[in-house]
Amino acid sequence: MRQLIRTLAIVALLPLGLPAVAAIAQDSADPSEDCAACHEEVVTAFKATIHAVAARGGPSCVTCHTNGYRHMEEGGDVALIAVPKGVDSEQLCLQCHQQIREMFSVRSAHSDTAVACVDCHSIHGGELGLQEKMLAKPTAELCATCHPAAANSFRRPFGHEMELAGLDCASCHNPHGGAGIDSLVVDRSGEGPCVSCHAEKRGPFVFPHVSNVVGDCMKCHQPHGSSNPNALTRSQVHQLCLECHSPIEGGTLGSQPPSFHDLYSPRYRNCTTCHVAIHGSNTSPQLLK
Amino acid sequence: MNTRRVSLAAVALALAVVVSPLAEAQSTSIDLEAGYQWVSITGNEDMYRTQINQDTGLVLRGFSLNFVDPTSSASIADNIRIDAAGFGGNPAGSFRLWMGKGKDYRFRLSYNQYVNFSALPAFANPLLDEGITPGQHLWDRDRYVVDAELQLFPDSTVTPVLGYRWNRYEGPRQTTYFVGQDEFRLDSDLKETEQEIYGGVFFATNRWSGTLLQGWREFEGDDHVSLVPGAGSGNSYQAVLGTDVTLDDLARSVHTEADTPVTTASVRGRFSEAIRLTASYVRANYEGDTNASELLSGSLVSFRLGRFFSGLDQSISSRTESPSWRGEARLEFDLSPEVRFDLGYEARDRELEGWALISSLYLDTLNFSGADPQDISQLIETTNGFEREDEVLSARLNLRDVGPFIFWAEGAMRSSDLDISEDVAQIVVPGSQEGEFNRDVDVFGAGAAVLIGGARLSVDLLSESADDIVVRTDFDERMRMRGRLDWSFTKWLRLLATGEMISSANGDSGVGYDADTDHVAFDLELTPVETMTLRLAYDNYDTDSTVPIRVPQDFSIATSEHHENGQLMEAGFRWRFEPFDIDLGYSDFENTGSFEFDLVRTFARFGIDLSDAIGVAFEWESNKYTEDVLQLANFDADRFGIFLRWRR
Repeated sequence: MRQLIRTLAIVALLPLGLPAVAAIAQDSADPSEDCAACHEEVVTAFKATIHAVAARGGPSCVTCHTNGYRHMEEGGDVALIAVPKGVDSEQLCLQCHQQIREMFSVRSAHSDTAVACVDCHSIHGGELGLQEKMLAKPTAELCATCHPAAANSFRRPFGHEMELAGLDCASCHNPHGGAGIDSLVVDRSGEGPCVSCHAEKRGPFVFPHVSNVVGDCMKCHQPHGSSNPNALTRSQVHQLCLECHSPIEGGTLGSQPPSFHDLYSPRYRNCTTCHVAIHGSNTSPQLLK
Repeated sequence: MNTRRVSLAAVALALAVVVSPLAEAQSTSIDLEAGYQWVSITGNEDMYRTQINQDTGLVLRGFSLNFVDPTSSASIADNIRIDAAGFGGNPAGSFRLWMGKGKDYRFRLSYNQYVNFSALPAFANPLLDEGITPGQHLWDRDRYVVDAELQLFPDSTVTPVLGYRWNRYEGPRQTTYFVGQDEFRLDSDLKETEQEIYGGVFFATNRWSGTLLQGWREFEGDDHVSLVPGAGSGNSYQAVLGTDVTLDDLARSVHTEADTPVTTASVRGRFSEAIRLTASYVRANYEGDTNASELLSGSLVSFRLGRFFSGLDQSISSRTESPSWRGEARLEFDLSPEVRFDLGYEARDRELEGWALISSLYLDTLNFSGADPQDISQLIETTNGFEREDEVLSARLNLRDVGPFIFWAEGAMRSSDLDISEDVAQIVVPGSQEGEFNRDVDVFGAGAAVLIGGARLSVDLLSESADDIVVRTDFDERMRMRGRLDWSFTKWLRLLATGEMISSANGDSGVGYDADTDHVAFDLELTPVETMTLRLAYDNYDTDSTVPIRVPQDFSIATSEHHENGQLMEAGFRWRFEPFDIDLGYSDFENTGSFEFDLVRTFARFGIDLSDAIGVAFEWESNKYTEDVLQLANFDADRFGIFLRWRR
């Protein structure tokens, strides 16, 4: 707890240095001023984004709206202003962002299916609270606009609770990554997103079970949300275990005959009542502790 | 109310006050919403806490500070972003800070805390038939995660980077232990910490960019376990060979330390405008040691020894070494603006060598005739290991802007080689517990999308075929078909529809695994005026799986069947007419499969802006959970809250 307090103290003290920031001159030359004459609201919102910092001393609105000066000279003719959309916007964004390390390349599953950068990112600044990634909506809400079935799976009673802070889709999925399992965030040691938080289940253990041997966490768990307690793929624990550990025909891993356990007795219906270290153990070959 | 939640809420609110002077700067905006909530639960409070776990007390609903200075070059930061939410009555809280100054530095810091609570009535509950709940595996643990990274001279040719991550999991748990032919409830007090520090560089030139990072991860865990007071009789009331199995005392300590150096390198760039390369390599070398001691006394039975015993003094030393690496490379060809082709190769390798020395001294043993008293020492040395190699070769063709169409097709060959050698100590009953396993999976996928007007329709197919299985629930044939429609009729009406069918099977004799999932979801959003939104959603999924199993009590063959038939109906309404804001929501999730339950959630929020800066909101939320079979799991919970909002 003391370490926690120390950590929080550091967090709390950091902003103490920030009042110096408040003494900032507001009157430097602003390349967006001409645009603001007609588009004040847009320019004001834009100035509250990280793009406004990136644009300092260099290009501004016309970086993306390439015909901006002509549009101005012609009295604001909307036909003369470039408004990047779709694939064009993607190429435009990547002129600057292709070297950002998180964005491996344009070759993402979203890009391949013509989901453009501006479909998710609000370049002129979204609502306050969302601008750190310039997202058009909160992450979970944004993803749900195209993936309602995945969003609905979080309505099941057992699993990760999305609406109570701390987690969103991007905690586990890289929206700039591939499709399906290739969308999962991989940590610096090349492992999936589960053990980033559930570090105690990372192992490796002297006596391992499933993870990293014949599968991953999703061999037994439904990470979004599950109809089954502990987000398992089966409602009965012994079902989950016996479906692998059943010797009907040899040749599969783990299909040794089970010991005599009378499933009519409730004490044997949950294998994990005794095999408590089901994720792996360093002290018990039979995963009993 | 949980004191840790109060203290954290207080810290978070103090933070808001500290940073509030920034509001004086014109380019700073602040949004704070905090208040108090009351939670009232009837029924099974444990189940409510397991699923939802909101608490009565102060809640920091949200705090955001956004500071951007596009002009100054004299400040310590030209952009600062702080977001905090959830501290107090929520089971999770998060704090995030981003700050930076032009090309000088970027810094990000995040802190997350989670309350992990579980006390399920039926899970790990051998006494359920006697009406005793909850089960015997309960935990009320907290997780804290701190993540920080500093980049110097960002977006330069070379950007030094230094990062740190800290992850702690601690708190009490109740678990069980099988010893002496009975299970006993134990109290556990755990503290596990994983830390990682890493440093290196990002580099970027006109054509090439990449990273080279070296990290050191350290894990340290301590678990102290003791017998739950009054639990010495165990779960079974039946005597074993005429002896009542009891435990008088138990003390166990387990200490684990592990170090893992991690090297990460990646590079991406262009050979030409039309050919790009993305490649990465990760190497981790885990080495861990565990030392455990256990001392127990009681009246116990060991069939392995064929004796009664009255105590056990055990010490365990174990060591794990697990080097792993993963490398991948992908070439991307832009054959034309509309045609792209990817070729990728990935290889992974993971080895494990585990060693344990288990020294057990069984005290005051007697043979089953009650004779031959002696202490028996048992020494088990066990080695355990595996090596797994995976290779994936993949190709993907993508055609875009073919009129209104997009097409893609992909193929992959996945190969897994697994060599497992397990020690006899781990084998309960002789069988297929070790050996060499090889599995090749051929993957083919294709899809198309059409964009016409406000509609986007896409369909895709994924087919996987394997030559062999490793475990019995592996498929040898799997097929997924999916369709998705996103249709914006007008600005005020949008329809989303998703349909998905997945079939997974293994027809091999002796396996007979078969699993099917059908899933449809509809989402209708009406926006009659810009300030009003009505949302209706329907979701239905059917999952059926069957596989024959060997029944352990008589070794007969039976079928393990699992069914889920989940239906979700949801409606939401949001109307903002200044100064009022109304948000209503209702959802009903019902499962009529193997495990039947119904979860109804209702939510209402009414907000009023008292001025441009200040507002107040009232919330009510209801969660009603009912199980058909185990009605003692049911709960009906209401949450009322009043929140103040301040923004500048």
